[in-house]
Amino acid sequence: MTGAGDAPAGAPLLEVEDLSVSFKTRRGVVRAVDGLSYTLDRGESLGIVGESGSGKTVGSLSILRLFGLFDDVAVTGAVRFEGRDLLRVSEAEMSRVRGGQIGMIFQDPLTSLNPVMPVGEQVAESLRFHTGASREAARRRTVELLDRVGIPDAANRYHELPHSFSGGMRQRVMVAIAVACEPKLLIADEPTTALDVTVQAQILLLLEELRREMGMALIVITHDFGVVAATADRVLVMYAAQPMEHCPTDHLFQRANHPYTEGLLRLVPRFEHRSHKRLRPIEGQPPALTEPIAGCAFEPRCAVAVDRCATDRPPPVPLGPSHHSACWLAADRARRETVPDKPWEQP
Amino acid sequence: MTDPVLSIRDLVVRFRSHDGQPFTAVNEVSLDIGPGETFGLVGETGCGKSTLARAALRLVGFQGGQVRLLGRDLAELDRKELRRLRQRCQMIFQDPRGSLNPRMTVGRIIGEPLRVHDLADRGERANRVREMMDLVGLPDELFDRRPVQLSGGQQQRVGIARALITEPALVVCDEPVSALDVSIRAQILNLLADLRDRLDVAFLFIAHDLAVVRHLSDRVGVMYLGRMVEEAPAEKLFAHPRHPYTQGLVAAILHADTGGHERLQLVERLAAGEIPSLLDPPDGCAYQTRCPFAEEVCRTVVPAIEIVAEASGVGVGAEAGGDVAASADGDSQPHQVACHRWSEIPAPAATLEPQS
Repeated sequence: MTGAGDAPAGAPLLEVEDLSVSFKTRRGVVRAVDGLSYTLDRGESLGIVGESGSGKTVGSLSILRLFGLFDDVAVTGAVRFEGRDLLRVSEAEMSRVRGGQIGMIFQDPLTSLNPVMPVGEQVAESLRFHTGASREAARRRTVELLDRVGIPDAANRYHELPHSFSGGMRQRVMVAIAVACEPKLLIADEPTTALDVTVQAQILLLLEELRREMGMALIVITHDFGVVAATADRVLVMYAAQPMEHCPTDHLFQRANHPYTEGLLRLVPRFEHRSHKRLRPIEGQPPALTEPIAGCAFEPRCAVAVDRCATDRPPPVPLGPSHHSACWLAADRARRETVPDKPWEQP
Repeated sequence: MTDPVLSIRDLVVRFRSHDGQPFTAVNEVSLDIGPGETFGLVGETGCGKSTLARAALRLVGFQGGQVRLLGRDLAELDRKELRRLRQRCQMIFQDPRGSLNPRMTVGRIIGEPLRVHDLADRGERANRVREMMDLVGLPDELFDRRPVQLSGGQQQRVGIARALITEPALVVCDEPVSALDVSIRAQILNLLADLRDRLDVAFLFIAHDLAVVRHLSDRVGVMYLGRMVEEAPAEKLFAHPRHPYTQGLVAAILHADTGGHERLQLVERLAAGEIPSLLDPPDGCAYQTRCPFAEEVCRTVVPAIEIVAEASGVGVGAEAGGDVAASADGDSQPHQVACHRWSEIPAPAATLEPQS
C-alpha cells in the first residue's frame, strides 16, 4: 500500500475512478452510482448537482465508506485520497480518515449532533480522538473554533446541549466539528437546505472563508445551482446514478453542453423572469434505478436524443480544459452556431 | 375599487410557548387581496406568515384586529356560516403526501370537499372530479389509485385539484413546492400559473423561496418577526427593495450566475446574525438587532408602515392602519415600507442583478 507521503507531487488530492455502488434491496438491486470519475486538487471546490436519487450523496459518502444500514453493498472502482485507495484500507485506518483528514457536514444538523452531549464536548471529542490533544488543550481549541464559526459567547455556550441552539447555530457547530482537525477535504451534503435564506448565505460564506484559510478542498453536494455558483470552482452534474457533465462553474452558465444540464438550468426561476413567463419543465420522470439502463440514462426524457442514445452509453466527451459531457451529440452541440447565452430563456 | 376577497386589518395573533410564556406571532399586520389577485407572502422561519394565513381562514383564533373574508367579518360569523364560507376558501399544503388520506382513493380525496359541503350527488361528483383531474393534468386512470402509488408531483396535483373543486374565491398555498424536486417543482409552478391565469381565483401564496414567489405573484409582502416590513407590486419589490431586510433577502437569492460570492458578502452585511426569539423580541424596530443602518430611534420606536413616494424618493408620511386603506383608493398598488430610515438607505442595486 502506498503511504500518504508517497503520492507523487502534483497528483490530485482526490481521484475517484469509475466508482460504482449498488445496494441489494427488497425491490432488487439498486444502482446508486454508475461509473463516476473525477479528480479534485488541493484547495479546490467541486459542486455535485443532481435531483433526488441522482447518486450525488451516495457517490460522496462512498469516499468515506459510509453506507448506512445497507449490508449488501457492492462497490467497484477506486477512491484514491493522497494516493491511497480508501476502498481498500482497513476499517481502523478509515476511522482516522473520517473526521481527521476528511471532514463531513450533513444536511440536518439536529439529527447529526448527539442530543444529550454538550456541543463543546462534541467538538473536543473529535480533536482528542484525532490529534491526541489533552482534555484542556482540546477545550481551549474548541472555544477558538466555536468562536471562529460564529457562535457568540462561545466559552459559555460550550456546555449547552444542541436543542438550545437555532438551526443556523447547530450547523455552525457541525462546521466546527468538521474542520476541527483541519481536514484536507471537507464534504458538505446539502449543508444549507434546511436553513433560512439569510442564514444559508452566512453558512456558505463561512465555508468559503474556512476553505481559503485552511487550504481545504471542498465538495458541496446540492440540488441548487445557486449554491454551486456561490461556492464551487467546478461542477459535476449527475442524473440517475450517472455523471452527465463536468465543467468549470463559469462554463456552466455560458456553455452548458449536456441536454440535461441545459434542462435543469431552464428550471431555475430566474430573477429577471417576467412573472407571467412559463418555466420549461423536463417532461417525464427519472428512471427506476432497479432497471438496467443500456444507453444514456437521460435518453427517455431527452428532446434531442437519437437512436444510438437508447442502446449505447455515451462516454464523457472532452470539450476543453476540464469540461466533459457524456452525450453522443456533445461535439455537435459544442459547435452550435448560436449557443444561447441564456438557455433558460424562451427563444 | 372592487371589494377585496380577503381584507386584514391590524391582525394580532398570540400564542403561548410550551412552558406557558405568551408571545405575539402576528403583530398588527394589514393586507388586502383583490379578486383573482396573487399575493405572495415571504419571510423566514417564525416570521408569522403561516400563522397569518391560518388566522385569515380562522383555523387559528386571533386576539386583535379584523379579518374580512368575502366581505364578511370573521368575528361575527357563527359556526354554520363559517363552514359555508369555507367552501369558498381552500388550502394547499407543503407536504403533499402528509396532507392526503392514505386510505382514500384519488377520486374520493378530490371529491371529498363536494361531499362534505353537500354540493353534488355521487354521480355528479365523479364527473366533477374527472374534469378537475383533467384540469390539473392528472391522467384519468389514477382515479382509483391511492396516494402512495403516486409520485410527489402527482400527489401535489391531487392537493391542488381538491382545493379547486369547490370553485373557491381564495386559495391559500402554504409552501406548495418546497418539498418537491426541481424538475417537478417547475411543473407544479407552471400549473399554478396556468390556474391563476385561467380561473378567477385569488391566491395567498406563502413561501420562503423568493424566486418562486416572484415567479407567481402580483404583489408581495415581506414579514419579519410577526410584522409586515414591506409590501409592493412584485416587480417593484424585487427591483427596488427598500427595507434593509428585504434587500438582504433579495441578495440571498442564489442565482445560477457568477456573482455568487459578492452577493453572499452583501447578505452578511445587510442581514448579519440571527432572527431574535419571539419570546424576547427587541424593542423598537424588530429588525434593529441585525440592521446595519439602525440608529437610536430604531431601538426605541416601532416604525409605522409608510407609502414610498415614487418619483421623489421621499416618503409621504402616513400612519399605519386607516391611512393605508385610504391611500389604496388613490393608488391600488402602493409600495409600503416599515422603516424609519428607508429614504436614506442606499439601494444596493448593482449587486442584486444577476450577472452572466
